[in-house]
Amino acid sequence: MNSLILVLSVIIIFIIAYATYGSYLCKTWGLDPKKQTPAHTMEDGVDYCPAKAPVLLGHHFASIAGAGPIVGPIQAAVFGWLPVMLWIVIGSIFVGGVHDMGALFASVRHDGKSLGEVIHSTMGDTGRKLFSWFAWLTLILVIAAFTAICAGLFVSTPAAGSTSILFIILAIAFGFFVYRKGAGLGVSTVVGVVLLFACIWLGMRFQFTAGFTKSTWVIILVAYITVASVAPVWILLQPRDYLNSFLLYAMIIGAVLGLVILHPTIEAKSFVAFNTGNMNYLFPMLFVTVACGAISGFHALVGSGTTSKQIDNEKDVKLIGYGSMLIEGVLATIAIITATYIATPELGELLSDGGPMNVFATGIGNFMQSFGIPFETGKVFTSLAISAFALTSLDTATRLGRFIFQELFDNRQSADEKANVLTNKYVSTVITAGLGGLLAVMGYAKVWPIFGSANQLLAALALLTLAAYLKKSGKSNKVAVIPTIFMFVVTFAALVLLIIQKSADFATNWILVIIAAILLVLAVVLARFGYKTLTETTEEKIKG
Amino acid sequence: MDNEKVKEFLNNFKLFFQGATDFNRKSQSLLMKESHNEMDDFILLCFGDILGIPIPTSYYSLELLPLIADDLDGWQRRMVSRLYIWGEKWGDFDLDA
Repeated sequence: MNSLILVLSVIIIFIIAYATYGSYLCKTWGLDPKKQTPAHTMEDGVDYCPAKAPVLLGHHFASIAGAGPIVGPIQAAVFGWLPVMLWIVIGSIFVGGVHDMGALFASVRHDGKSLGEVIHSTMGDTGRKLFSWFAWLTLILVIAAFTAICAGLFVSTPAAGSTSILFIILAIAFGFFVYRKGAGLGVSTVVGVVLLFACIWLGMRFQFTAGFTKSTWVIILVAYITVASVAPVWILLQPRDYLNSFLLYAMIIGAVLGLVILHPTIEAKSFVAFNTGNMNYLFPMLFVTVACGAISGFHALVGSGTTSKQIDNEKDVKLIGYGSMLIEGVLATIAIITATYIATPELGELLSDGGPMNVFATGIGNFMQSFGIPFETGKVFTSLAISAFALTSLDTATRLGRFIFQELFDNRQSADEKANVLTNKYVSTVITAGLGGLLAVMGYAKVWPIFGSANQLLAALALLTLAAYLKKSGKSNKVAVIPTIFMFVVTFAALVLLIIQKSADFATNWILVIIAAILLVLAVVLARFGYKTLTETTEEKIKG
Repeated sequence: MDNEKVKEFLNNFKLFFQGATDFNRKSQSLLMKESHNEMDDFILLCFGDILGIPIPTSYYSLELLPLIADDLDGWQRRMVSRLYIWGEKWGDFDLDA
């Protein structure tokens, strides 16, 4: 099948869904264009400020799209491309779109408060504590998954490792010159981007190969994120984010150009097997592996974090919440095409060699070759772009994990009480990053499904909050309840399966088994709470 | 489709890319938020008594009131509605995951 036709048909299906199901959601939820949004009622010029709908759509899309929609679909391609494709299309329309739009809508109706705060107001303090532990565990899994993915990539493409290190040095220098020496942003950007490409050239010449195993890279990365997440944002996080965006857009342009010029025929099998071995069943594993392209709990956090505070008019909720999820579905489709462009036996080899990012980098490298960029350069460039992405995720996840951990252990009642050592900034960072690193050593293949389950549990929780809110406001909540049940079933099944699978080798996998067990207990508690909330007749806890 | 509509659509398309490729926005907002957080802490140190926290220096810091008066409204709302820190922080960082 020609890949260009596949992409186009997905786009057409999404446009139809947007016009029909999207409008149906607007009608049943009662989106009111006349109602004032928090961006107007609470305008402060910092967080709360109305933004034009298309601009905000761009912002929101850029925030939810990242390494996720690339890693998941490629990893799941072992089942064959057709089931992944179907889950992306159906999931985006009926589950992910509802979830993203719903989280945004609920947040807009709660003064633009974040999901955590909305949950707090519905579940009370115990609920908040539970949610904090759950969020912390999820972040540990983010750290583990992305550390492992980067380490794998750096071993399989050594040039990407040395380029990434040079890139970090460049970012620090950029931050220093712009924010401490007062260098102009325009000139610095030009110099920065030129040096960025020089880094790739240099990185390809000096490669860390001898002695740099996966574990070595994990240790280096953990040390790096520990330092990076306690450093002030201007020195590293901010300039790296800034330079990253140039890499990202160059990569997207390369991929799209290559796709149009090459429009490869899909070589891989459309369906491989229901069980690809080692208890890797299509149900539920596919649904926790492909998160970002179909439904992802993290989107609820973005939607209810920044976006909801900038919604100009309630009618924009459909475009921004539902629309951006569908665009992300298209992105995931492109990711699956890069994976399937490579024939199945090679795919397995590349996957076990350097993980999904290796597959993606090889695919895009091939694409770029079609318009004259040497394969090796294209591959290193793509590797750098996606590892830079992953490093940003690592940095921010460690920062957030540290805040949560500190707050969990801060039980002081009066000012003169001695602070718990666990609330120390450095101690909490080392614990958070260290635990992530410990898990990362086990390899991404083992961590990713558990991370996926945690992420989907978060999505289930967001959908549950939406269902509860809709019920409270006297509207039909079927569109939210059915996906909620589905997501809970998927996470239960996945976690039980993972526990059984990992318990076979308990001595090496004990941390994973314990984390999966804790997540399962949390899922049970949350499901029980959800059942209670949705069946109660007079419910006053949820703010209307 | 008439000319106006095509024009509007193209303009919206442009705005979408403007939003998505706004290199500066995401990274600048991080810096803005950090500096605003610092400002919030500073106001807390100077005018904590508005929230009922006794501040011994408030007699002197009162001199700053005209300079800070504009910020006080938003600041007070933020302080009062703050339930816990990470709930807020989570929205500031996007994880790209």
